[in-house]
Amino acid sequence: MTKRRASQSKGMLFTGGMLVGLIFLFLVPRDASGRLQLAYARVFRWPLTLGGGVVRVSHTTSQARTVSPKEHAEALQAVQQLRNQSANLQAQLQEATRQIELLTRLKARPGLERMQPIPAKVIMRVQDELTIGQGLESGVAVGQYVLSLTEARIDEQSVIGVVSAVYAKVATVKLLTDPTLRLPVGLAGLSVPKLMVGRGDGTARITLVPREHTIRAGDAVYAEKRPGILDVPVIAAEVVQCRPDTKDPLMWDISVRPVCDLATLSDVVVMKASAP
Amino acid sequence: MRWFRFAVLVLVASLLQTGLIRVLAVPPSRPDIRPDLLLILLVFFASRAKSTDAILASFALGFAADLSNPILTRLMGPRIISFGLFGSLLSDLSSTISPRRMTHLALTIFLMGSLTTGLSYLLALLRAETVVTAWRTGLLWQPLYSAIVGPFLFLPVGWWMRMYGKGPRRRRRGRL
Repeated sequence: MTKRRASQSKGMLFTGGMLVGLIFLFLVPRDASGRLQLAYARVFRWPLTLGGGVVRVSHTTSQARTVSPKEHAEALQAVQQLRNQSANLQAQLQEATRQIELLTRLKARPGLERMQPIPAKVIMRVQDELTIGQGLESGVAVGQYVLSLTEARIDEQSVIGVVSAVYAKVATVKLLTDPTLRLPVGLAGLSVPKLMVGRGDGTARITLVPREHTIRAGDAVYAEKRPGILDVPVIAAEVVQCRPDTKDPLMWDISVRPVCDLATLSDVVVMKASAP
Repeated sequence: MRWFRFAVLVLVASLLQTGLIRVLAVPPSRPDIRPDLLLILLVFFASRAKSTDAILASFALGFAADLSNPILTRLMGPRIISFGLFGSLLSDLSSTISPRRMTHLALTIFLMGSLTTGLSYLLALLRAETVVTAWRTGLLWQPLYSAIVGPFLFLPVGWWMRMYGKGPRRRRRGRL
């Protein structure tokens, strides 16, 4: 009799326990279960944190357990992509801000108020020719002057070449040192513009300057103003050597070099005349 | 059974299980591989307490496990059911076979660990779309670690609960 009662008691206990478990599993909302677990963590926060921040760990664990490894990996990848995009956008914003600042300062220079500068990146350089990242779509045209765009030396903007060919999104620029480029330039003390021709070795030469003019090393060479292209003379090169022309001893053979370091140039600006 | 001592023991074990036991994680970089104190207690009470006490203790330990170290957060029940079921089963079996040697105790803990964890995962799957966890850790490494540590804890737990050796209800029909 006692044995049967004990067996009944065991059975009832077991059934009761299982019922409690099943109720917790299927009937109790997960939020309520979560609150219960959280209450436990909150009540025993002090001893739990002794072991190394259990609340934090359980939080981390919960995240790890509610998503599959694949989802977790995808989420991590998405986060990384967003970070990259954000970093790229920030870099682009910084670059745009820098260019706006540069162009604003450039346009503020006397004589360039009516010009419309088109900033462009140097994509490629082959010998004495540059390929820039702006083309017809941006208003670039053959014959337009191209100036260096250097943040540190905004007041020392110099002509570096002339647009020689234009495509939809890119254009090529002949540098001052290109042997096929003939650029009208002015020298201090000269009233008549002379032609500067590239040598193809990083320098250019100016000929047909009578020896009666005093030319010294370091003298500035200006790209002459041309209606609709350049409203004011802009420095382009400096004299490095001046000696009598071997073919015509009455004339100077003047060697010049660009004032801008063309090898390290990464940003340029194409000068486009604003519509009247 | 001394239920107050039992409550204190379960509380301390669950707190240790959740927090302080991390120092025993092997390797330290894998905090999930650690001995399951509540599982060890389950085997202790299931094999040493009276059957009614053992059943009650099993469900209580399952509740504590669900509360402090759940299979899935915001879900309770899997461990109550698995601990209750296998604890009761072990308690019933203990009347005929009673693990006393260290190796037998270790084997029992390992089997109980694997079975309760496996059932808990399956039950959790009924409520959750995905239960992501390291199956190998839950079914193998943690029970193995518990099996190694567990038999050594039987002595202090027995001292605390004043339960030395087999419970009073045991019939000495056979020993494993």
